[in-house]
Amino acid sequence: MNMALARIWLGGILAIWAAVFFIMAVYFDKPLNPFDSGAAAFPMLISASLFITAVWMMLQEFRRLPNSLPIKAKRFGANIFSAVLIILYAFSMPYAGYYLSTLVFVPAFLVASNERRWKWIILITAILLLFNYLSFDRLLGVSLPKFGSAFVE
Amino acid sequence: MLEGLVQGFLLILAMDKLLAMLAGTIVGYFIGAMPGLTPSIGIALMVPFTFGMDPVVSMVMLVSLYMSAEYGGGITAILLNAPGTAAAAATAFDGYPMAKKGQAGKALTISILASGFGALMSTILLIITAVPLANFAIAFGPSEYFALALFGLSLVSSLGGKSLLRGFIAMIVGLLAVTIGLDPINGSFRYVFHLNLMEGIPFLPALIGLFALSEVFYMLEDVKEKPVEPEKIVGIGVELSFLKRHWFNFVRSSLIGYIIGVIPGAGTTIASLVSYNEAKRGSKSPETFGSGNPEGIIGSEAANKSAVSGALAPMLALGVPGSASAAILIGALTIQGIQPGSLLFAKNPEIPYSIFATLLFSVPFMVAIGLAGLRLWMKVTDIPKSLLATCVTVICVIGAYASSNDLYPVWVMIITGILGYIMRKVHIPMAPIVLALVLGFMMEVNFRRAYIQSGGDMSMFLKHPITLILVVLALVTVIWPVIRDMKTKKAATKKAAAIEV
Repeated sequence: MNMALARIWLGGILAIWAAVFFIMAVYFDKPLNPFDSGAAAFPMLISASLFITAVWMMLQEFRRLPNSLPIKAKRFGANIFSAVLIILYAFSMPYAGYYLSTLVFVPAFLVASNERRWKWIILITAILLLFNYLSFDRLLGVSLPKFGSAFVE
Repeated sequence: MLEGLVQGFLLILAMDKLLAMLAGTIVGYFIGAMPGLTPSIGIALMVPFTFGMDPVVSMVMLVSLYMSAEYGGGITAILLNAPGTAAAAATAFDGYPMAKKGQAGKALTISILASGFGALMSTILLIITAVPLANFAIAFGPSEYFALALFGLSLVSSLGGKSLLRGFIAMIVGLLAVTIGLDPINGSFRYVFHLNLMEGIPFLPALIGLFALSEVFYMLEDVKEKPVEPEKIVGIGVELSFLKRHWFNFVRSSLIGYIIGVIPGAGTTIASLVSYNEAKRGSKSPETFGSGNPEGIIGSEAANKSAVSGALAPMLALGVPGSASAAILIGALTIQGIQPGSLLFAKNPEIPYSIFATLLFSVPFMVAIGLAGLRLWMKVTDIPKSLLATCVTVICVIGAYASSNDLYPVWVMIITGILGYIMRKVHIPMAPIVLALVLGFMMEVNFRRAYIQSGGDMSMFLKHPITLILVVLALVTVIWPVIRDMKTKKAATKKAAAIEV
């Protein structure tokens, strides 16, 4: 995708977001104090500004479209896969617990990052688990998600 | 006062206090370098250890931790583009590009020297001006805070990168994100699609996502590339001539940091952003800011360390915390049976003077540990990107989680990380979003409070001198670059026309 087209898409998404937030703000609670500008004033002002600037950017980019260069994005597929892995990692934590999730995530992420040396994969996984256990769990007393904590809730 | 200061020095020059200072400095480095863990979290975590301690020892440890944690945030900002503290975000703007060019050692040295200078100068300022400046800061009402936030946001014109429009869009996106959550005045729901959103978008996880996680995706693009060979460090890493050339930047940044730090609630992040902007405006090569100009690091680091001492001024003189960390320090003092405020200097003079002495004495500690660890921290740049990206991701996740012992900040971090990557790809700058996330809430709340207090009279913004000055400064800051750009374009057009003729 070229830069101008990407910005047009982004501008469109931002304009829709701004429009939705503006309409929602209309229905916010009215102020109790007659001198309070109210819960809606600031969000309405900001969302209207975002709508205007986003449309302005789209118009600017339409003019640039013919001469626009493509966006540089190497290993795009691998990056999407990595993002999915991070989402799955966060999603699995309340079910599998922090340590089990990390034990699965780190090797998977390393492989997705083109790391093939299995000794390194084992070493990095062990170091990260140990470091997080000692520093966050033991030293700082952070209560990390436990196995099955989502079911307990 | 001099007598009190000598007493303070004599008090802290005992083995237990020096050990407490060393422990505080080392723990502070660690806390600061961990994205998600703020200096205030670090102090809060250490407070239970101080229960049985002598009040002076506990203050020595906590104050050293506070100062070095602010420095620790700069290390990861420079090496990984992952600011350990919010205030270090401005350090990443130029520190990380320098590290990418193989100048990590130089960037780290400049960062530690600027930190040391800022800490030292602000401590001297604190000793001299604590009481009068604290009284000035207490005069800040809602209209002044609103004007301060407005002035902060006006910096978008210079922090927004090449396109003013894209800078504004980034800022407005940040401002709109800030409106999510409970209304700050009457508590009604605004865009609360899920219960977690009641507390709004947490700032620190959003910052970790925008900077660190988006950087992970960039690292993953280049996993096959070899890391840049870092330049060898000669001496302490920078020449004396460099320091001499930029002495004014050191002094100005420290002054800005101290003054902003004194204002309760303004904080180190605003101080570093404002100072960074001033460093850019005062530079002979402002166009190189954002691509590895060491002046930017001086601006950010000197100011955020200076703001630490600044935040202690209202705490010591009035018992009013200048920052979240100062509020926890007040709590720690109260636990010890000591009440900070106007009577502190009379009733417990050993506390303020030992804090002054600690601040002065902890600077060499901080600088020495920083310079000694330089070569070790630089090793981070030798780590292959695949391993580094994995480590950064795991630390980001646990850091975001640890910020409030909840998975909600982790989701915020992931979403902002993906958004940050997309925005960086289409050259939408990150700095204005940081500005908006820091200042948006402050601007709205104080505007509404001021408006209510004045009974709906908008002219109150013109009646308060500090407010008026800040509003005018904000307008000039936004309008001036636009006029300058128009002039430059006009001159270029004229030149082109002349060449054609």
